[in-house]
Parts: sequence; structure tokens; C-alpha cells
Amino acid sequence: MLAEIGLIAALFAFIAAIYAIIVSVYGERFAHSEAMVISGRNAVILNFILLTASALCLQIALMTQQYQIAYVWSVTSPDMPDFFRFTALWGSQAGSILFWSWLMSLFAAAAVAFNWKSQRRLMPYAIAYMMAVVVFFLGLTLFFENPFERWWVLPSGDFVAAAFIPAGATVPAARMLAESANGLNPLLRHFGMAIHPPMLYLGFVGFVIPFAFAMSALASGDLSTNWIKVSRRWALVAWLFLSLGLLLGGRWAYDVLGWGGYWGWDPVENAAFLPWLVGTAYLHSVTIQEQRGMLKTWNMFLVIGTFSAVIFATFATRSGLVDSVHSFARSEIGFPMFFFWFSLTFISVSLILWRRHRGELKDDHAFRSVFSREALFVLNNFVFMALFVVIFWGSFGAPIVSELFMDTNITLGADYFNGVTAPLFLLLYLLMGVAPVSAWGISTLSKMGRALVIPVGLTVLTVGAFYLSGVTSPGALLGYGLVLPAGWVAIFETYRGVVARQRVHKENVLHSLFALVTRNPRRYGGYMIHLGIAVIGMGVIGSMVFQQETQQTLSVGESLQIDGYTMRYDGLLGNQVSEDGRIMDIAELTLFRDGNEISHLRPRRDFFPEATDMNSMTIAGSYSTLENDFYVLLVNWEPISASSATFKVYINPLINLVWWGGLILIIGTLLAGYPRETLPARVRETLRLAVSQGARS
Amino acid sequence: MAEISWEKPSVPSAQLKSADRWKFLVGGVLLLGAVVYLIVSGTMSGAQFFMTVDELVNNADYVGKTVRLSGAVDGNTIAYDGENLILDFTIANIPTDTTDLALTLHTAVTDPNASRIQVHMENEVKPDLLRHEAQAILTGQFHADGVFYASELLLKCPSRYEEGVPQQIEAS
Repeated sequence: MLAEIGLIAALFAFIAAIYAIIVSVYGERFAHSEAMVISGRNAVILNFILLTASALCLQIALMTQQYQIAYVWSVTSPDMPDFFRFTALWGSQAGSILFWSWLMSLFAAAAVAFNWKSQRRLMPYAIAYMMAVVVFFLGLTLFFENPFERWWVLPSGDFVAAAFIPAGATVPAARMLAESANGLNPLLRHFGMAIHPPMLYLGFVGFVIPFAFAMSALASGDLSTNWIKVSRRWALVAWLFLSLGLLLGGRWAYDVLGWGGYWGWDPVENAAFLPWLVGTAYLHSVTIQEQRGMLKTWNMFLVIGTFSAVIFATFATRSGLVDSVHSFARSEIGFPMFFFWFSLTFISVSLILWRRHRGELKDDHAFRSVFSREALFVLNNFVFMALFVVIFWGSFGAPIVSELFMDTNITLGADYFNGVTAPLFLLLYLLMGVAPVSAWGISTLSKMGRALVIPVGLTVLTVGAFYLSGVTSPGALLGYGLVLPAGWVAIFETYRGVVARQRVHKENVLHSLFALVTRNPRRYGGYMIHLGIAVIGMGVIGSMVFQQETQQTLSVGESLQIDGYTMRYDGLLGNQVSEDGRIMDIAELTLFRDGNEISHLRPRRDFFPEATDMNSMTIAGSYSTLENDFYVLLVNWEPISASSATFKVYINPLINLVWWGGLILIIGTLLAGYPRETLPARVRETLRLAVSQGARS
Repeated sequence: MAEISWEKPSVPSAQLKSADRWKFLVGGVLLLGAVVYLIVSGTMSGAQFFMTVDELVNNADYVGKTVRLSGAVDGNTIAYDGENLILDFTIANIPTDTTDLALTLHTAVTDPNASRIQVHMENEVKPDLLRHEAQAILTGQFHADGVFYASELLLKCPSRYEEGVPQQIEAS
């Protein structure tokens, strides 16, 4: 029953989306009918309701263990806890595509609800573009990866998965299905996996809204700043989720994959990072268009490039294009996805070139100085694009080009990525230190120099402190020296704002800070994001350059020493069965620092007897301080006597700064996107009058 | 603060002085050159050839060079010294890729005529995914002694999570 309802709801959602495209474009362009456009809007809402129903059906089927549905059978099993039944919705290809479509229709419905009045002119085309993307993904669900297929027994006795009952087939015995059910891939049974994919999807999918508005501006010819206003905020929302998704992915890798790292330059990680790079470039350069009316064509390219990168990442992940730990199984959706990505990019770029050719994307200002803020922003964009190009080349370009044209297969490993991206990242940090103190139009070197004296001074002091505390590697000191100004400038500029305000208003510091930030959340949110990125940079340098590792075999009662820590092996708890059926071998360790007991750690190995592959998992034990992480893996042990076991230990310095920096970044983004009028109502009214009078005269 | 300046009427602004234009141009070319240099030098030093067992065994050119090697793991050959973290196993050549990875790997491992290479790894925790008929992607060097000394191991298992049929699971 659930399968039928879910499938029919998805089919009607598909029809509603097609209907929305047709009536809104026809109503706007040819019939000039408000009623038709409104009908198109309602179809978007209907599409969301139907898709919600469809996804809900699958979710209920997962929760209530309807193993006749092949998807439910393949990702859950009777002994799984409810939490993982819930997350199994995105545990495999078919379900995650439906989930993806649902998120996209959620965004579309939200855009229609929030921007209907303010963006009435752009809406019809925006609806058409958003729904076109939904139609594509729903088409994948209906025609290629149907999560509602059920198991049937053919008269011949063979099993077959099909959406509709084949002739003469019967329903398999429920008990047999339940007993043979697969269960969720063990690697995905982690709290991080419950939130990492949805966040990443939200980030990916969210960029459809800025894309749709940009395309709508190109199609309708309304190339004023309307589309910029509406798309910037949506891009910020998407960017927030994408950043969160990337950070959580790193955290999950660190906790579960057991190699002591958090970013491996894996092609699929890179694929998710690419839209982030273009999106970040866009969020910077959009300010130039708002402030100075410049870079109009370029911004169009960026916003469309971001979404194009999103679709490419999806294609790369799901088609088996590259070998990666993240890949879904090789499937037939590769070609349709590639075709969709190609046509989407081709149409968008052609539209931009056409409008540009007609002279409708002309800039209001030209560049006037090499040291102006806009010039520095252009440099920022250049570095982001350079990062995009080198990472794209390393992950996809070199392997594909070599395979197609050189009859060999070249891959580039972590050495390439670290070597090539490091100078670019450091240049980016340098810009982050300089650009906030530059001015629009023209600024002079001496003016900028004066604003930088104190942040640079603070940087010198901090690097000096690092040096005295024993960090003597020149590379690391240079790295810190380049990363730190970005953070200090952000803090110092905020401090200057507070002091200036206090001089006028005679408030206490906290009140001043609050007032300052709420008056201009975009600027101070931006500073906070910079601070977060600087903190992340410190963590990355620390954990990359100064990681230590050792491994040792210990008998019960023996200890090992590393970097001031002493770890004692107390014994092994073997064959512990947890509620979801996994069997755990747990080592019990006591950790000392300078002779004092500080923690008990329990690294373990989990074994999943019912899983057919990837049936075990190494879970690290770790003790975290701001200074470093003590990270230990249980590598090997004597199963019977448990008298000795082998451990691998990593010391990851400053790694927690990566997560803390991430938190700062998220708070900053929330601040920067906080919808708030930035001027008091009185002033706005005066300005509006002035502008309307100016327009009349 | 930005909202009001959006609708600023466009004033024809002063054009860039030609000296400044040169600065932009030269700066741009230098930057572009730097990025191209980064890519080329990075690719030159970091490129690893991705090879099959057949290609490596039959081509002396690659002895001693860092390459990436793909093969099917023979589960019976896996030997792991957990105390010293030394891992040895043999991989078999994977013939041309077909759509069914599980079947391809099975054929590769069971084919008595397929070329094989012994893999040796030190200081390596035995990965959870290392098992019979998994696809191993290794980074390392093939030495003249006929052993592939790997420093990095990536494993891929045919995902039965998506391709399984109830019967097959029952039978196994």
C-alpha cells in the first residue's frame, strides 16, 4: 500500500512540476495572464506537498520494516535501532535521490512563499527553472532509481524487483525477506552520517534558488539589482549548509574512518568542495555589484557556475566516474546526469553571452585603482577560481584527459593537492588580512598600511609566542604568520568599531558591540566568518605539520609514552554485543599526563555479523584538548587470552581549532544572513523620498 | 548600510589611467603564469600512472617508479602480522571493466591464468575492507624482486547493498 501511494504521489509531483513550468512561462510571456502565473505558483506548492507525501511513505515503510519494498530490504534489517532506520532514507542511491528532490521542492516552495511579492517579475521564470531541476531528479526516481520497487517471486521461483506486479508473480514470504535483509552499511551507522548528508544536500540543493533567479533575470531581461538582492541571501543559506556539510564530513572521517585525518583530497570530497569555492567567490563579488554596479557578467557566471558545479559533483559521485570511498554503486543514471549537467551549463552560458552581446550587462563603473577594495575582491575571485581549476584538474581533469587522449590513466594524489593549493590558500589568507581595511574606489597604500600596523604587530607577537613555545619549523611559522593577520584584522576592525561607537554613545562595551553588530550584521558577520576561517587555518597547519604517530604492542598493565602522555593498557572486553547486533571488542586504556590520570579511553573494533561486506569498523578513542588530540586505534589483539594488543596512536596538534573555527564560521554566517533592515525606519523613509524625488526630476 | 546604494544612478566614472591599466594587465599575466606553473609542476611531480597488474608485469619501464595499481584481492593469500603491522597479499589482474564489478572480481580471482603480483606493506593497519574479491587500489613501487611495495591502500567492495537479491543472500 505504502509503495503504491508513494509512487503515485511522486508521479503526480512530476506532473505538477511540468505543469508549473508550462503555465508560468506561457502565462507570463504569451497569455499575459496573472491567473495562469498564480496557478503555476500553486503547482509549486502542490509539488512540495506531493513529494512530502511520497518521501513520507518511504520513511514510514522504513520505520515499519516493509521488507517487500526492495529499498527497505537493502538498507535496513530487523535488529537496527529506529534512529538508523530513519537515516536510511538517504542511506543509498534510490532513497537519497528522492530525498534530494524533496529538499529541492522544499526550497522552491520556500522561495515562492518568501519572495512572491517582492520578486513578482522574476517569479514565473524562476519557477520554471526550479521546477525543471525538480523534474529531472524526479525523472531519475521514476524511470531509473525507483525506491518503491518491490520484491516478487516469479512462477519460475526467481526473485525480481519491480514497481508493478509481474504476470503470475506472488508476494515473497515476509519472514524470509526480513531474515535476509541487508542492513545499513556499517560505515553509515554513525551520528555524523545522520546529519552530514542532509546538510551537504541542503547546501547543494539550496544553490538552485540563486541559480533560478539569475536565469530568470537573464530570460526576462530584468537585469536590475533585483536578482542580486534575492539570490545573495539564498546563496548565503546554501553556503551555510554546504560549509556545515563539509565540516561534518571531515568530523565523520576523523571519528570513523580511523586514519587520524579529516580531509583526504578524495575526488568526491573535492567535488563537494568545488561548488563551495565558486559560491564563496560569488558571495564576495556580489558585494561589488551591489556597491559599485560592476562585474555584472562575472557574477552571472559565478552563480551559474556554482550550481553547475553542484550538478557536476552529484554526477561525479553517483555515476561511478571516479574511484572513491564515497561512490555509490556504478549505475545507469550517469548518462542522463551528464546530459543534464551539460545542457544546463550550455543554456546558461549562452543566455549570459546573448544578454552581454545586447549590451545589457554593462558595468556602471570601471576600475580606478589597483589598491581599491574592488580590485582586491577581483584578486580574491581570481584565487578562488585558481583553486577551483587546480582542484578540478587534479581530481577529474588529469585522470579523464589522460584516459581519453594519452591511452593511460594518470591520477594525482594528496602530494599534488597539498603542494599546489597551499600557496593559493596562503594568498587567500593574505588577502583576507588586507582587503577589509581597503576602501571602495581608491585607497592608498599608506592608508591601508596604517590600518594594518596593529594587526601585524599582534601577528608578530603571536608568532613569537609560538616560537618560544617550541614551534621552530620555518614553514609552520610562515604559515601562521600569513593566516593570523586575517583573524587579527577581523578582531581589530570590530574593536575599532566598538571604540568609535563608545566615544559617541557612552555605552558599556557589550552593549556597544551588540549595537554595532546588529546595525551592520553583514559586515561584522563577515568579519566573524573570516575569524573562523583563520582559526580553521591554524588548526589545519598544526595538524598537518606537527602530527606525530607511533604504534606499539602492549601486554596488560604495560604503558607507552608519547608527547608527554602515558597510555596504560588495562585489558580487553571481548565480544560485547550491542543493541543493533554489532559485536564489539573494546580495549580499556587509562591515559596519564605528567603522572596524573586524566582519562579512560575505549578504542574498539566493531563487527557486524549480518552485513555482507564492509562488516567491521575501527572506532578510535580520543582525548581532546585545545592543544592537541590524543587519538588511539585498537589495531590488533589476542582474541582468546587478550593478554596483549597493538595500538596505533596519533597526536594531532591544534586539530580542535578546525571544529571551533567551524563553529565561529557558522555563527558568523547566521549573523551575516540575518534579515534585518540596516537603517532606522525614519532614515529609510527620508531616503526613499529623496530617491523618488530624484527619479521624478 | 548597503541597501540604499543599490539603486545609485550610474554615473560615468573616470576611466582607468593607462599606467594603472598596465599594472592590472601585468599583474594578471603574472598571476596566471604562476597558476599555470603550479599546475604543470604539480602534475609533473605528482602524476601517478594508474595501471593494471598485466601492464605492470609486462612492462619493465615502470620498475621502481611510483604508480597506482589496481587488482582483485585473493583472500587466501592475506597474511597479517598484527604486532609489527606487516601486511602481505596477492592481487590478480582485473580484465576489462564490466558493469558488474562483483562478477568481474570473482572471475579475476578464480582465473588460474590471470597474472598476479605479491603486495607487501609495512606499518599498515589491516583495513576492514581487505577481503576476498575486493578491488585494491595501491600506490607504491614495483621492484625487480617481483614484489609491489605499497605505501597506500584503497579498497572497494562491490556493494551488495544495492545489487543483492534475497535468494543470493540466502544461498551464501
